[in-house]
Amino acid sequence: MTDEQAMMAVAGGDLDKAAVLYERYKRPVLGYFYRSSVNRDNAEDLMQQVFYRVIHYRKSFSEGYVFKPWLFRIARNVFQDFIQKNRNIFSGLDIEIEEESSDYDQEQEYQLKRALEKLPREYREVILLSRYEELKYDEIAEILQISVSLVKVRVHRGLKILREIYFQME
Amino acid sequence: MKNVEEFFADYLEGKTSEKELEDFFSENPGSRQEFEELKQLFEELPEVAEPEVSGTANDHFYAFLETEKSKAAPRFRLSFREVFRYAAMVLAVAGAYYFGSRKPEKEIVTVEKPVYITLRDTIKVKEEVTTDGEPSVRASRKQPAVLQELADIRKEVSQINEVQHKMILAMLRQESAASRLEAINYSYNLDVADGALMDALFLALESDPSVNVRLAALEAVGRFELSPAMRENLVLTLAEQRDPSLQMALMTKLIELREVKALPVFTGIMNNPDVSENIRDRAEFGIKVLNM
Repeated sequence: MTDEQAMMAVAGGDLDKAAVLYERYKRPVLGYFYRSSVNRDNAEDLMQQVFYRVIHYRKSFSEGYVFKPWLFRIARNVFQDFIQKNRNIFSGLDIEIEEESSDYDQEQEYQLKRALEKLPREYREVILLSRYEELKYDEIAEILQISVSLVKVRVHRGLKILREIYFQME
Repeated sequence: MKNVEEFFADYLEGKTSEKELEDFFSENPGSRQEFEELKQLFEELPEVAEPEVSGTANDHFYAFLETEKSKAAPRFRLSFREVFRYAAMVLAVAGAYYFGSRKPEKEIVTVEKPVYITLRDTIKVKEEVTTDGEPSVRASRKQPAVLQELADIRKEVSQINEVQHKMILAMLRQESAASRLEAINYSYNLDVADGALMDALFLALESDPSVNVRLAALEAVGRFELSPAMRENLVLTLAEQRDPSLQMALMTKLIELREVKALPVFTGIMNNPDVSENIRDRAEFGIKVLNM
C-alpha cells in the first residue's frame, strides 16, 4: 500500500491506516525537528502534534496529493507555531551540541553541524529538506509555499553562505 | 535560459546532461570550481541519526487514534440508550395493555354526604362512591393493588438491568475497541454491577489490547464498591502493567482506596530504574500516603 492509498483510506474514515503512516514516518518527522535544533523532548512533542493534525485534517487530503510533502508541510507549520511561541529560545541558538571531538574527521563534522545551525532559517530549511528528507525542489516549493525557482536560488545561496560560515569557524 | 543558481540546483540534483554542463562552464568560466566545491559541501553534510521514538510517544499516539476511532465510529446501529428507551416503551405498552385488559371498574367520584348528628346540626363528610351512587370498594382493595403494581415495576426494572448487563457483556467481546469503549461507557448507567460484569471489566482492565480501553475499564471498575478480592486484583494488575499511563492511573486509584496491600508493588516500581521518573515519583508518594 502506498502512502497516498493509506492516507486516502484515512481520509475516507479507515483510521487504522493512520497507524501505518505513523510507523513509516514517525522517525523522519522526529528527525526533521531534531535537525532543526529542537531539543529531544520538544521534538517528540512536535512529532506527535504533526500526526494529530494528520488525523484531524485528514479530509483535506485529496486525490492527486503526494503524502510526503503534505506531511512535511504540516510539520513545517507545527514548527512555525512552535517558533512563534518560543521566540526567546529561537532568537539565539538553542542547540544541543555534542562534545567537541579530538578526531579530525569528527572535528570537521562537528564544525559543519555548527555551521549548518548558524545558517539563516530560510536557507537551512531548504537544505535540510533537500539533503535529509530527500525531497524534490517542487515538493519543497509546495511545503514552503514558494516558487520552485526560489527554492533553487535558496539552495545555491544557502550552500555559499554555509561555506563562508564554515571557513570563518575554521 | 537558466540563471547560475537554477542551473546549480539542477546540477546538484543530477538533472543536467554532460553537454549542458560543458556548455555552461565554457560560458561561465570559474563556475566549475564553485559548483564542485558546493556539491562536495552538500554531500559532506553530516548524517544526523534519526532518534528512536519513545514508547510513551507511541502510546500517546495510539491512545489518541483509539479516541478518534471511537468518535468516528459509524452510528448505523441503535445505541444502548436507544435500545433501552425502546425496551422501556415496549414494556410500558405491554403494561398498559395488561392493566387495561382487566375488567373495568365503575368510575369513582367523591361526593359530600350529610351526616345528621341531631335534628338541627348536620356536618358533611367526603365519601368515595361510584357514579351509580354505590359505595366504592376501592378502600378495601387499595393497598394490595398498589403493592402489586410496585412489584411489577420492580420486576420490569430488574429485567431492564439484566438486559443492560447482557448487552454490555456482549459489547465487551466485540473486536472493535470503539465498541468495547462504548460498552464500558454504558456501564456508567448502572448503579450496581453483577459479578459477571465486574469480571468482564477486570478482564478488560488486565488484558485489553487497547490502552484506552484498559484505562476506561479502570475508571468504570472504580465506580463500584470493590470487594477485598477486587482490590487485590487491582494490586496484581498494577504489578503486571508496563504502560506508564495505566501504571499512573492504577497507583492513583490504589492510593485513593488506601490499599496498603499495594505497598510492595509500589516499592518495586519506585526501585525499578527502567520505569520513568514521574512514575517512580508517584510510587514514592503512594508509599508515603499508604504508610500514614
